[in-house]
Amino acid sequence: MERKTLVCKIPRKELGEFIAWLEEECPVYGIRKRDDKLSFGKIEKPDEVVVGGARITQPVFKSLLFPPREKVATYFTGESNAGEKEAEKKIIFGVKSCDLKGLLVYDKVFRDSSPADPFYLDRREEYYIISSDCTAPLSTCFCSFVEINPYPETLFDLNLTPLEDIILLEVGSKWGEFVVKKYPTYLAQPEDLERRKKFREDLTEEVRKINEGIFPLSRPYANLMRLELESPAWESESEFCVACGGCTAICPTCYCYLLYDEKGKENYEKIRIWDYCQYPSFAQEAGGANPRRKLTERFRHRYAHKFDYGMVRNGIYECSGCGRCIEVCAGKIDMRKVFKKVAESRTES
Amino acid sequence: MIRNSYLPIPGELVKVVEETSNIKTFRIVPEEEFSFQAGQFIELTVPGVGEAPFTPSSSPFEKKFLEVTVMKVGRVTTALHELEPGVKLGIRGPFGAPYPLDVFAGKDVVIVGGGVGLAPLRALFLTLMEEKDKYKKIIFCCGAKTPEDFIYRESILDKWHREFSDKVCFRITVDQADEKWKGNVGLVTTTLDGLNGEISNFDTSVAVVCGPPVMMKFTTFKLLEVGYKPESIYLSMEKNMSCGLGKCGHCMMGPYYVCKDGPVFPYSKLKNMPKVWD
Ligand SMILES: Cc1cc2nc3c(=O)[nH]c(=O)nc-3n(C[C@H](O)[C@H](O)[C@H](O)COP(=O)(O)OP(=O)(O)OC[C@H]3O[C@@H](n4cnc5c(N)ncnc54)[C@H](O)[C@@H]3O)c2cc1C
Ligand code: SF4
Ligand code: FES
Repeated sequence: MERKTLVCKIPRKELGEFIAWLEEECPVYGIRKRDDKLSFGKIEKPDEVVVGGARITQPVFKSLLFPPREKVATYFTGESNAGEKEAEKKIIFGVKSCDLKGLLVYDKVFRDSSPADPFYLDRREEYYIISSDCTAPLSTCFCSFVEINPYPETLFDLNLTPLEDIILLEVGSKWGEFVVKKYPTYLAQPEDLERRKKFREDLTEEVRKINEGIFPLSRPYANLMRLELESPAWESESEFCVACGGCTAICPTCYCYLLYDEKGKENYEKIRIWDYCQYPSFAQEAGGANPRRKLTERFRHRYAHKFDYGMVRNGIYECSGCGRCIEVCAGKIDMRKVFKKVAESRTES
Repeated sequence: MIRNSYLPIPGELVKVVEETSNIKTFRIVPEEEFSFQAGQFIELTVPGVGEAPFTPSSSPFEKKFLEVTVMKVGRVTTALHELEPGVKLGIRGPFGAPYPLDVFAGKDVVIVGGGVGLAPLRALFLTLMEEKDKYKKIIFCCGAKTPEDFIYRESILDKWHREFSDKVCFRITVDQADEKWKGNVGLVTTTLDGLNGEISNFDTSVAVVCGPPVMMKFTTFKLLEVGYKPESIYLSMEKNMSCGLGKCGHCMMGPYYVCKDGPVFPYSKLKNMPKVWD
């Protein structure tokens, strides 16, 4: 299904020139390949830019918009310390559909649910987003099982589909339109769009195949969570969890945090740091009571939050399907297999 | 410009009242405009030390100051207990939803409190007293371990009886009497004995409970037994909190952010929740 949007194209060999042109507009940050390693950072040479591939290890928007440690208030100074920054624009280049799903979750939490977070709003303004379709999904990818496709459909200024000889550019905003009009592009022809459609169908099929037998579930997980909170599978599946919090740290949709107070050089400060719901003391109360004392309860809570409460509160699954949690897990726990086990325990009982 | 909800406003600590051996009431004069409604809470900062959630216990109609009644249990509360009048504290909030007074209007209101849980109930009680005629019967039940353990002792044992007994029925008890105690002896749940004789229609009656988790649990069961419907029993949920804004995740209980959707919930919303009383 093609939507009515403006789609243009450039020859693929022009990518370097296009990046160089973008750099004239404002600094470009993106997925780069250096010494065969992929990372995210400032693009120094146009030819180190990566368009296709899959998402990188680091969740791109997380640290940018929600830093691991941040001063959120300097108090008793009479100043508000927020919402005053004049944003200097930057381009984020090459992010994938699952990165954008992370962004969507953060938008819902920090921007759309009241009260909005002034620091988030400031930073959110800073970025133009040029995303791209995936071309090589990983064995841990399951994006198309959690409401998105392996190609971006929303939240970008410009989205790129790299085909063999051309790159298609889909416009998603005024700025995106400015780019395709100012930079010499051609209008995509029906046959180009047809090629994109085919490419995307194959891509989605690839992600489906990766998950064949691993993740046989169709949605909705919310119901599964609600019905199967007491499933014995939670206990057995969390057996190898060491509560390191790695999955939450690497997760592009996790947003739990902790505030603490500090005496700065001259003033008192409130600092916000990432926090992890997998830690034993996360929900512990002063008297020693703890609604999620057991590891299994915390493990299950993470799933319930993403797939049930996220749906209740924000109308979405708060999971991007990027599979980073699978990749990072010390106990080799695979979210897809956990769901499978939980679902099977239902059919068995 | 959008407000920074993490920024506390300064307030001067002007008075400290020792309620019991480990509970004190702190009177704070906010240096900027601040108001709240009964049931809402604040995050109170001890500068440089940390912050913790407390429900103001003073009347929301009192515009010059607010009071919080705090039990000493840990890091922040211990630091608070060491403070003398004159220091500056930080206030963030108010957070959470107030008691639904519009729902209470035209109904009996039974208040049941224990220990430091009386704090939000004092704010509620004083609010009800501002517009007494809006409500049917008001019954104030509370208990303490010994007569020495009552907070707001003078009000609960004496002053409020003189001021409000035309409207309010007080049912006060202690777990253990001393030689001077002439009132009831028994757990706070015993103050609910015979309540069904006094309440003619449970459709037009609400119960509001705040206290330690075990007390809330047994009081709730007793209220159900007496005839209350789950949706007419209002409970204060105490959870670990950090932001107060419905974001940081610490206070989550099922799909609810207790700091935002609560902290007061009708029991009907809680009864199927795992670990409600923990
Ligand atoms: C809505 C609500 C209203 C309340 N009202 C009252 C009231 O009116 N009166 C009253 O006495 N109590 C009230 N409480 C309970 C009160 O908030 C706790 O007793 C208080 O938080 C204990 O803080 P503490 O630092 O002294 O205890 P601690 O045991 O030291 O800490 C309590 C919890 O906070 C965490 N914590 C510790 N240090 C920090 C830090 N630096 N930053 C962030 N978190 C930390 C810990 O993990 C621990 O789980 C209320 C609680 C809630 C949720
Ligand atoms: S999860 Fe989907 S969008 Fe993300 S990298 Fe894998 S294929 Fe691409
Ligand atoms: S205290 Fe942060 S979400 Fe409730």
